[in-house]
Amino acid sequence: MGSVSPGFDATTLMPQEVSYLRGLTVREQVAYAGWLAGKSPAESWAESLELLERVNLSDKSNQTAKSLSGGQLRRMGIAQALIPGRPVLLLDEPTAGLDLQEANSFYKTLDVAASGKTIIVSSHQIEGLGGFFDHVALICAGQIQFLGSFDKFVEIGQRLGAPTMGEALVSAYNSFMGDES
Amino acid sequence: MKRLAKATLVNALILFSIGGVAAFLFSTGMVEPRFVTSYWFGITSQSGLTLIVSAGIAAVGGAIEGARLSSLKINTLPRNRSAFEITLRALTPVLLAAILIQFVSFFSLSRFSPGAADTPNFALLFVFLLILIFHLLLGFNLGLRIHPALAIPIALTASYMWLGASWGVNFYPLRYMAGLILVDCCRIYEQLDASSVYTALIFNGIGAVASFLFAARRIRGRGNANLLMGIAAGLLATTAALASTNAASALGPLPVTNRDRSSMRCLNALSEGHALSKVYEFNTLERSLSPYICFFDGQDPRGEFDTALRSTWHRLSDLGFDPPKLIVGTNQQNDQQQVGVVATPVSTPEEVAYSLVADIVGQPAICDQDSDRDWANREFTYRALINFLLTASSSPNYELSGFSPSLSEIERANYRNLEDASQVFLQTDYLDQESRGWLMLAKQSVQSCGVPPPVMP
Repeated sequence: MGSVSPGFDATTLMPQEVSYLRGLTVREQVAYAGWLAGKSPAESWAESLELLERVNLSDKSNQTAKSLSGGQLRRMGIAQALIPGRPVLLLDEPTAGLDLQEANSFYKTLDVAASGKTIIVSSHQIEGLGGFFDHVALICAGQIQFLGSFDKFVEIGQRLGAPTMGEALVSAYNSFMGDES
Repeated sequence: MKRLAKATLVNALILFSIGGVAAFLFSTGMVEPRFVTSYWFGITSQSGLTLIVSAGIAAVGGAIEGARLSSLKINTLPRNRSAFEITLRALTPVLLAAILIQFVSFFSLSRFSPGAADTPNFALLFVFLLILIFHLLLGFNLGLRIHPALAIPIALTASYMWLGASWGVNFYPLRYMAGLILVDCCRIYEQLDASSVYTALIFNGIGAVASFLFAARRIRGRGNANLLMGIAAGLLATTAALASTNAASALGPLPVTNRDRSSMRCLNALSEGHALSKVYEFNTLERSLSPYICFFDGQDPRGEFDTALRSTWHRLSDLGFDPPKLIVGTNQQNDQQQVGVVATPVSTPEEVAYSLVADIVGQPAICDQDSDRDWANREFTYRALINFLLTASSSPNYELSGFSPSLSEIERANYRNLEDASQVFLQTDYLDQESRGWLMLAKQSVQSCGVPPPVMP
């Protein structure tokens, strides 16, 4: 995690449900998000294609946002979140509704597209998180149950007998959350 | 083009296509030629007829864009744009479409402009623009707040009802707030009462600002500033209603008044043209042997009305009538000094000459002491008098008897001797004493309750 000045202006939120303007194409949608963030129309229009390439959606740029699948819509959400150029991305349940393979693909795309950014993900789906994050904060009822490195968290799961990284994450999670999970 | 969303442009283009055709049909099929020919003020006013289309289109377009914007959870995206910028970007294409629809109507009507001496009324065009903005924001607010399946039809219905239904409401300020009544104007000698324009301007102007604040409140989401914005919007809406009601308080059912006569040009058979004010000076009228006839520029495009009026005026003088020596082409109260005639650039010389005869005679007096029989008698005398004058004041060039009011079989039998006398006068300029006497008494009895209708010769 890089050094970041606290404050909302440094953060872009990608909500659980990525919304879009009805009737707009994917590129127009991302460009609109850029304009909304204060960029000039020309600048955001130019950047939108570049960002869609980074999230592997350039082939869908002229389709309406409505026609995208759940996973594609979230990738468009990443492009929308990146276009303001803020250093921190806060993603709320970004893989909700996606299967493990799709979630994995999403994080891979995010890892490449948002390279150099600080990414904070809030998620209940922890199996797909492996390999992409440096730190884990486990919060239950407003209390931090675990705060530490990702590797340390995986190690806790492995000590409980989990053979794979995904299972280790789940085991560690359950060990902290107990009945709450 | 890429800087605006294609969907927004397509939406505006579809709306313009529908509205543009409707506007063209409206402005070609429903326009009143007497109101627009050679008169830019009338053209500007009548072009507002298509507001019923363009404002509806603006409301529907606003609802669509509002719904589009509400589908985006805008507060979840980083935002450095004000609600004004967001609204402007969302609504500009639709507003342009609505304005273009109005221009289709305006340019379509401008074919009537040849001969016009005035200029388009930009204040009125500005009021039409404010009306469009108000309807646009009305639809936008609906789109932002309710499902588009409801917002779009409600916006269209509300726009149509506000413009159309308020026209027929007897609480007059409502008509002026809506503004469609401003299209009910004008013959070349008329203009809009300034209060009617101010009322529409105040209501739609302040109303548009209030509507924008309501929309901005929705766009911005929750917060203390939004509470203040809501209060401000409410206050402005109230101010718009109160101030415009006050501005319209002196207005009647129609916003039309007589045009300022100072720009009239007056001609006498023996003199150069004068401004009307000059005609009043130095007892000009008393010294004149022929009438001064005053028209606005463009009102008598072929100079035919002047000739017809002069001819009719001299025939009436020969009959022993003493017609006023000042004839003005405007709707006004007649007196001994002057008479107003109805003349628009599309009138025929005969219609204008008929107007002179009808205006000099006036309408039959309504007298409290008259029995039904007395009234019938006075009214018959009136129709007989008009019949006589129209026949007698005709000439080979101006046949006026076609305007004569109808007479029943019995009335025609009673009128026969006078009819013969009018025909004799038409051919020989001779009028017997008995008919001449009846003529004078008939005129007095029509105009005065103190004079009973004379017996027919």
